Amino acid sequence: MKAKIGFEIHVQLNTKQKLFCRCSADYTDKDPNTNICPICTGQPGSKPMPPNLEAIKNVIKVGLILGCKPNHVRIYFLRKHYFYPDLPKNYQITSEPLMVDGNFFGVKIREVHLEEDPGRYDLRNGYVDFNRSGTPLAEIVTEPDIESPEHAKGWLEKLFLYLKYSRAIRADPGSIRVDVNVSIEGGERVEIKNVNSIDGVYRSLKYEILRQTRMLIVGKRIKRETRHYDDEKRITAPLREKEDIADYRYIPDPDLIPIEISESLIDNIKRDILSPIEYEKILKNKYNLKENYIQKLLQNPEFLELCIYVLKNIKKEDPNRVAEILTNHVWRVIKDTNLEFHQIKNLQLVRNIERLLTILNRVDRNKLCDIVSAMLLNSEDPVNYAKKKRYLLQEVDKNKIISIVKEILTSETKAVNDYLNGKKKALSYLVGKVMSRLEIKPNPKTITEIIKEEIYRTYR
Amino acid sequence: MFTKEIIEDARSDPINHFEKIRKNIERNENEVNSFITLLLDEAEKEIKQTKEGKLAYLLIAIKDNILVEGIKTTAGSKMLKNYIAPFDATVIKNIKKEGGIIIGKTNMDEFACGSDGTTSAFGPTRNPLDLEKVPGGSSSGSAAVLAAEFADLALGSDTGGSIRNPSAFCSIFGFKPTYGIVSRYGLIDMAMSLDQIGPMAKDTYGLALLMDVISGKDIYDPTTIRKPTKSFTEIIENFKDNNLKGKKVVYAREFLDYTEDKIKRKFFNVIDYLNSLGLEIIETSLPEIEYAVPTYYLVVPSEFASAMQRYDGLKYGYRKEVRDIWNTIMESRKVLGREVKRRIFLGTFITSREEFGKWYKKAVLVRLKIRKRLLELFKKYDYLVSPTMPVLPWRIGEIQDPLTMYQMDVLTVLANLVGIPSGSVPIAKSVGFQVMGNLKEDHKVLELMYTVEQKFSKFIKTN
Repeated sequence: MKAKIGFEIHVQLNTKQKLFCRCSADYTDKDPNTNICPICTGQPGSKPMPPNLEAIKNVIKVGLILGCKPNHVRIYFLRKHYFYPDLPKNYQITSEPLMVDGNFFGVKIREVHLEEDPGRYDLRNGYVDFNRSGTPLAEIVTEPDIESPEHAKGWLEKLFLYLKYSRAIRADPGSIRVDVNVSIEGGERVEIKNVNSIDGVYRSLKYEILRQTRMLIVGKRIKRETRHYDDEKRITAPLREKEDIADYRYIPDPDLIPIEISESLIDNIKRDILSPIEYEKILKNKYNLKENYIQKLLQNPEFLELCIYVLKNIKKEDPNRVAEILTNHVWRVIKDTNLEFHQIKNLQLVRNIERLLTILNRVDRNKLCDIVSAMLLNSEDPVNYAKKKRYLLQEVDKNKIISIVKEILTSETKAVNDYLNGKKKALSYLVGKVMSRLEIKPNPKTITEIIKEEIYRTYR
Repeated sequence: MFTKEIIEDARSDPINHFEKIRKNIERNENEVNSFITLLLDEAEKEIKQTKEGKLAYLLIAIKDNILVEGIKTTAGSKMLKNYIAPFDATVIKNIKKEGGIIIGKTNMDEFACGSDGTTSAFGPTRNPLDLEKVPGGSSSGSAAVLAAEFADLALGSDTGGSIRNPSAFCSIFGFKPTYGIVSRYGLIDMAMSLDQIGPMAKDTYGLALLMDVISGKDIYDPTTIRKPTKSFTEIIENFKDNNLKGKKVVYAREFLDYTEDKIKRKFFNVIDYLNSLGLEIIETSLPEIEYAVPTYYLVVPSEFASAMQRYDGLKYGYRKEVRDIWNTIMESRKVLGREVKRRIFLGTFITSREEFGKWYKKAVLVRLKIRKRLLELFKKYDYLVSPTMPVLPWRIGEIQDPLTMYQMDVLTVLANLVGIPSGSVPIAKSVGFQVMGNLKEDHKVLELMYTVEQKFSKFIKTN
C-alpha cells in the first residue's frame, strides 16, 4: 500500500545563547531552573530581546542545505497561544517562514521557520524545569512526498547527517522531534505527534500504515485525527479530543520588530556551508584517500574536521597512512575515553602522528592503540613511549638470518619438498623453526621472504 | 510649587522636603487612596544618603504596573497582590541612576483596564480636587499624588489616554511620548503596540526633566528608538513664546461634537490666545475619529488577552489549587476583576480562528488608515490639538456601562493608535488641553504645552 508521508521536524539550533535572552543555550547537565532569567520564565513586565542573530543565521543555513529560497518579505514573529505548564508565557513565539520552496533528495520542503523551545514538564511529579525554555528551534515542514517507512528512515538519516555537517544544529541525541503526517489512499490524513527518534518514526509509520490499511479492509473510515506514538508499546493512540481541536489564535507579536533577510546575509551564510558531498570531493581529489577511509570519515563531521586538520598540517606523508592511524587507532581511543575532538585538535597531535609514522614499520601492531592512547591522554611522545615499553621490533642481522635459514633448509628436506609440492603450511613450519633459533625476533614476514628467496635460489 | 522650586527645596534641605511630603501623605492619603504600596521608610533611608544626578533627592511615585526590584508590583490586581518584582524596569534603573527616590507604588485600574480608577482591586482612588469625583485613569494614583502633594514627580503608563486623562482630571501635566522613545521593559503589558510609559509632573519642565532620564534606546525592548540628541529640559529652558510664531495648529471639528460646552469654552480660550501669539489656527474635519474608539477597543483586548495568558497561577501570582493543573489554572484566573475578564473574553473571541478576519484583521487595517491620515495631516500642520477629556470628572461609581466608559477615551486614543506624542496641560480645574505632534517631535509638543502653561496653568499654584 502506497502511503503519503510528510514531516514537521523540530531541530535544536546550535547557538551560544537562547533566542530572546542572554541565558546560555546549553541547558543540559544543569540543576533545574538555574539557567533562567525574567525573560525566559515570562515574568510580568519582561519582553523578548531582539532575536539572536546566530539563530537566524542557522535557520537560514538549514534552509539553504534543504535547497530553500529565502522568503523575501517582512517576516513577523507570531504568538501561538496554548496553556501548558512548561510554556511560561502560555504562548510560544514562532516566526513566519524564513526559507521556502526547497527540495532535499526528492522530498519537497514547504518552509523552515524559527521558534522558541518550551521548558520541560515532568508530568509524574508535577515539576517544571525552565532551563531549556527559550532555546532556539528550527521547524522544517516537508510536503507529503515520502512513500514508505523505509523511505522515511533513509531520508531522515540523510537529512540529519547533512544538518550535522552544517553545524547549524546541536549534535547531542534527543534533540530530534518529529510530527509525522501519514495518509493512505482512501483515507484522511493522520498526524502522529512528537516522535523522538528516527527509529521511532520508522516504527510508528509501520504501525500506523498497518492500522489504516486494516481499517480500510474492514470497511471503516479513517478519520482525520492527531495521535501520539508510544515507543514502549510500539503503537499509536489517539490524543484526547481537547488537545486535538486547538485554536492557537496566532497574532503578530507586538514586542518584536519583523525581520528581513538580505541577499548579502544569504551570500555570507552560503560561503560557510560545507556538505558531505563537498567533503567527499576534497578527500578524494586532494588527498587521494581510499574509499573505505572516506566513508568512515564522513560518518562524523567533528572527527572529519579533526582529520582534515591533521592531513592539512602534516608534511611529506602518504595521506592514506595518516588516515589509517586516524580512522583506526585515534578513533578507537576517542570512542573508548571521554576525549572530545576539539581537545586534541592541535599541532602537537600532528607532530606526534608524524613521529609515530616513522616507526610504524617496526612497531608491534597490537600495541598501536596503547601508544596512541598514551600519546593522546598522557602527552607521551610515541617514539619514546614505544621504546620504553619495548614495543619496537628490533633490527636483526640479516646475514645471520640467512645463514640460519640455509642450515634449516638443508636439515628439513621433507618440509622443503612439501612446500615445493604446494603445501603452504610447510612454509609456516620452516619460519617457526628459524624463529626458534633467533634470540631477537624479527618480523615473521621478513623471515618468510628470506626463506622463499633461498628456496627459489637453490631449487630453480 | 513648580518643579524648579521643588528641586531647590529638595536639594537645600532633603530631609525637611521629605518630611513635608510625609506629613501630606499621613494627613490625606486615607481619603485619596493613591498608593498601593507606600515606601516611606525606604525613602527616608534613601534621603539621608548623598544623592547625585538630575533627580537627586526628588520623591517619585511609580504606577504599580512598573517593576521596582524587591518591591510589590500588583498592577492593581489581586492576581499579583503578593508579587515581588525580581528586577528593575529600565525606566526605574535610569531614575535610580539619576538620584531619584521612589516614594511609593500608585493605585491604578486593574492591569490598566479602566478610565477612572474604579477597577482597582485595592479600592478606587479619589480625586484630590474633589473627593467625590473620580481622578481619571488608569494612572489614577500617579495623577492624584501630584495634585495632593504626595510626590514631586510621577510615572504613569498610557495605552489610550491613561496618563493624559487623569492628568486633566487632577489638573496636572502628563505626557505620552512617541511610541518607542521610552523603554517598556518592566512595564506590565496591557496592549503592547499601544503602551507607553510617560512622565507626570506639576509643569512642563517636570515632564521634560523625567523625559531626559527615562527616554532612549534599550536593548531589552526591541521596539525602542534612539532619543533626540538635544535634552528636553534644555529645549524648554531656552524656549521663548514667540518661537512658535507661524506654527500651524489644527483641530478637528468632530472633536468638539463629543465635548461638553464648558470645556469647549475653555478650549477656545486657549485657541484664541495661541492665535494672538501669531500661531496659525486651522479647523479641519477628521471623520475617522468615529472609528477611533471601536478600533482601539478591538486592538486592545486582542493584545491584552495574549498578554494575560501568562497569569495561570502556576509560576507566580494568585493560585487556587484544585484537583489538576487545568482546573487550577481556571480557578486561579477567576480572581481577575470584571473588566479584565471582559477584555480577555473579547480578545480571545476576536482573535479566534473564525472571527479573526471579521474583527482583528479589520481593526488592524482601520488602524493603518487612521495612521496614514494623521501622518498626512502632520505633513501640513505642526500640531493637532483638542480638549483632553470630553467631560468633567464624574462621581465615583457614576459610570457603570462599559460602552459609556470606553467612549470617554474618544479624544485620547488617536495618539496611541498612531504612536504620536501627546500631552495634557491643565487650563482650568479638571480641564486639560491636549497637544499632539508628529512622530519623534516630542520636544515640539512640550514647547506648545509650555506656551499654554505660561498663560493658563497659574491657577494650580493657588490651589
